Amino acid sequence: MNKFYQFANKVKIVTGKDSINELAKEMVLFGARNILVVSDRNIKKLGYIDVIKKIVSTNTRLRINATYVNVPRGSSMDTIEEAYTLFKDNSCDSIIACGGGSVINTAKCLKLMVATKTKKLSQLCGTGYARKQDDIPFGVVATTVGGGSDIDETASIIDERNMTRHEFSSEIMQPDFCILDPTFVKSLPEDRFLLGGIELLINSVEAYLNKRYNPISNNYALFSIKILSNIFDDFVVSGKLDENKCIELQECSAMSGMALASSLGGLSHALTNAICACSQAYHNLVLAVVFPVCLAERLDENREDCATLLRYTVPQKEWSAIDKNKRAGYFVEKSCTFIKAVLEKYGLAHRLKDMGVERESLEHIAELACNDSVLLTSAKWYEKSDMMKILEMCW
Amino acid sequence: MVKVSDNNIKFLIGEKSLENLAYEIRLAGCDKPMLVCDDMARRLGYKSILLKSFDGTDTDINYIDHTIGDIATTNDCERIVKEFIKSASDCLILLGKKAVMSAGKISKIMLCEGELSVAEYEGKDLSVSEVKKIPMFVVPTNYASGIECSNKVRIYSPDFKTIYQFDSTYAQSDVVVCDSRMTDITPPKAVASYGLYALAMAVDGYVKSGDSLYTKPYALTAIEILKEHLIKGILKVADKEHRREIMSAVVIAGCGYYQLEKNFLAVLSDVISDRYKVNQANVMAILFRHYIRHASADDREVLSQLRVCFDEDEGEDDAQVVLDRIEKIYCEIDEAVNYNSCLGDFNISKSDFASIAEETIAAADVKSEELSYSFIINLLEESY
Repeated sequence: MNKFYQFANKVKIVTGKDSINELAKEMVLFGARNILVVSDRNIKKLGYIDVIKKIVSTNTRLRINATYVNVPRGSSMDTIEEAYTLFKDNSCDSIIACGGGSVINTAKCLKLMVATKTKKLSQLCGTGYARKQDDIPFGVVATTVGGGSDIDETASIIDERNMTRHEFSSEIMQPDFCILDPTFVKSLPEDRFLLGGIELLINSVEAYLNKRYNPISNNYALFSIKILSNIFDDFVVSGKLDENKCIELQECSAMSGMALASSLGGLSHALTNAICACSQAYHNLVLAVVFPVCLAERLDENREDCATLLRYTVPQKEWSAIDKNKRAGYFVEKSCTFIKAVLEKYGLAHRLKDMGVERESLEHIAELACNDSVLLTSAKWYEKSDMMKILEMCW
Repeated sequence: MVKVSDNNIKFLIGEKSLENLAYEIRLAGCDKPMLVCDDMARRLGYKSILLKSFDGTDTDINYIDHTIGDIATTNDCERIVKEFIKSASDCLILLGKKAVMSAGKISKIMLCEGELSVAEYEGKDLSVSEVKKIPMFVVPTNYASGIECSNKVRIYSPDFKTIYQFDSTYAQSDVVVCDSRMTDITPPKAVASYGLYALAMAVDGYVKSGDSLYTKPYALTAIEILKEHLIKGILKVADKEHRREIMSAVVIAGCGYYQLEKNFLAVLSDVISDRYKVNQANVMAILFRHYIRHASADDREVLSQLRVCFDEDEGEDDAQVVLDRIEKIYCEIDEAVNYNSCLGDFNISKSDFASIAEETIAAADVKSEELSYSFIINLLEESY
C-alpha cells in the first residue's frame, strides 16, 4: 500500500437544466474580460456558439473578441498554435471551450501555452513541471458525456508533422469551471450518448482497479458506478433516458473524471489510446470493444475488487444471495452484457476489424500500448505479447 | 435546478506529504509564503518540521506569525493582514488547529476584498465578487478540525462581543496537507472525540446531502477510513499511521459536510459550544449518537445505502444494520477510553435546555421538522 496519495478536483462543476445561464457570471468571477471561444464546426452548426454569445452579451464586463471553430476530430499541435495566434492577435485574456474531448484538449493546451508564456507547444511536451506565470480564466461547456477531459489535467495531441502523439500534463491546463447542461448534449444521437455512458463506467472501473492507493478517488469511482448501474438498469427496462437521468449521467461524467484524473486508467485505456492513434476509430467505441476482453482477462488478479464493485451495483439482498466465489464473475458478466446489448441494439461494430483497424497494425499498436503512461501505476507489467493476445481477441 | 460543486481543493495525505508543500507553492506561482501558526504548533515542534521541509528548495518562509491562541479573534485577523501586506507575502500557510484555520480564512477574505476590518464584511454577499488569487495552504495538526476545506468560517470579535459568520469562496484553501508527523502528540480521548465527530459529519452529511451527488464520495471515504482505523488509533497510541488516517477522515468528512447548508445538528452543536465555551466537535459527536436513532423514514432510506460501507452480511433492514454498526463503534470507544461521552460531562445545566432549544430554532436558517421544541429537548435529555 502506498503511504502517500493525493486527490484534487480543481474544477468547479455547475450542473443541471439551464446551468448554461451561469456562464457569464462564472467567467466574471474568474476575472475574464476578453474571451476567445474555442469550438468545432459541428457545434457551430448546432447553434451552441450563438447561445454562448447571447449569454455572454448579457454581462457588460465581458466581450467575445474572437471565435475559433477549426478544431478537427483529434486535436493537433498545429491547430493549437493557430488558436494561440488568434488569442494573442485579438488581445484575449480568457477562454471558453464548447465541445467534446478534442475541443477541450485544444483549449487546455492553449491555456498552458498562454499561462506559461510559451510560444511553441512542443516545448511543453511530456509530463512535468511548468510554472504558471499568468492566470487565464477558462470555462468549459461540455457537449458530450464520458471522456473526463473537462476535469483532468492531461491532453493527448497529434503531431501531424512527425506522425506521432504527444502527452501534456499539468494542473495549469485544468479549466476553472465546467458547465454540464443537458440541453447541450441533446443533439447527441442516442447511441453516442449511451456509448458515453459506457465510457464512464469503464473509466470508473479502471480507476478503481488501478492499484494506486487513493481512497477518495476510489469512492468517486464506486459512487459513479453505483449511479450508472441504476441508470443502465432503468434504460434496460424503459428503453429510454429521461432528462433527470441525463443530468445524473452528466454528474457521473464529472465524478468519473475526478476518479480517473487521480488514479489514471488501465489496460483498456492504454490499448484504446494506441488503437485510436493508428486509426480513425471512435475512442469510446474502441473502449467498449476492448474493455470486456481486458476485464475478463484480468479477472484473476482483480477478483476481490470486482466483488466489491458488484456490491455497489446490486441490492443487498441480491448481493447476499450470490455465492462469494462467483461475485467477481457476476460483475464482469453484468457489465459486459450491458455493453454488448448497446452495441447490438444500435448495430455498432463489435470488432476492431469492423472499425477500420488493419491487422498489420496490431504489432505497432501493441508496442504503443506498452509505452502508454496510463500503465505507469498499473499493478502488473504488461508485455507486448499480453497486448497482442488481447488485440487478437478484439480484432 | 442548478447544482454547484465548488470544492476545488487538493489533498496531500500520508507520510512526508509536507515535503510536497514547497512544490505546490511554486506551482501556484508563489515564492513568498507567510506562515500563520498557533503557539502549540511551535511548542510541539510542528513548526520546525514544516520549516525543515523547505530545506533544499528555493522557497523560504517570508514571514511567521505564531501567536494565535485557542480562540481566534478579529484582532488576530487584522494583525495577519497588516503583516502580510507589510512583508509583501504572496500566499498563506496555515499550521495548527481550528483557531488558526479561522483566522487564516478570514484574513484571506480581507486580503481579497481590501484592507477593511472584519465587521465590514458581515452580511455582504462575497460570492458575486471576482475571485482573487491568494493561494492558501493548510496543514492541520493533531486531529484536524473539519473546517480545513470549508467555505464557512466563524470568528469572535472581542470588541463587539459577537461571533461573525462568513460563507465565501475566498475562505477556501487550495491545498490541504495531512502529514503523519503532525499527529505526534494527540491524546486518545481527543482521537476518540474527533474520530466520532468525523463519523457524525460523514453519516449526517451523506443522509442530508439530498441529490448533491458530489459530496457523497467524501462521506463514504471518511466512513471507510474510520471503520478501519478509529478503534486502532485509540488503542495503539504509538502508531502514527492510524492517527494520521483519522486526521484525514476529519478533513475529508468536513470537506463534504461543510459544502452542504448548515443543518440542524451543526446549529445545535454551535449553540451549545458558543454558550458554554466547550469543544463543538465533541458536542456534535455526543448529539449525533442519539440524533441518528430518530432518523425519519426518508433519512433511513438514504442511510440504508451506507450498508455497503460495512462488511455485514446479516440483517434484513439495511438502515438498522447501519445504525447498529454506528452504535457498536460508540460502545467500543466507550470501553476503550475515558472521554466526554455525554453532555453531562460539561457544565451544562438541564434548566438551560429550554433556552438552548429556543436559540437553536431561532438560529437555524432552514426550517425542518427536527426544529421542534420537543424534539430538541428530548435529544438534549437523551444526550445528557
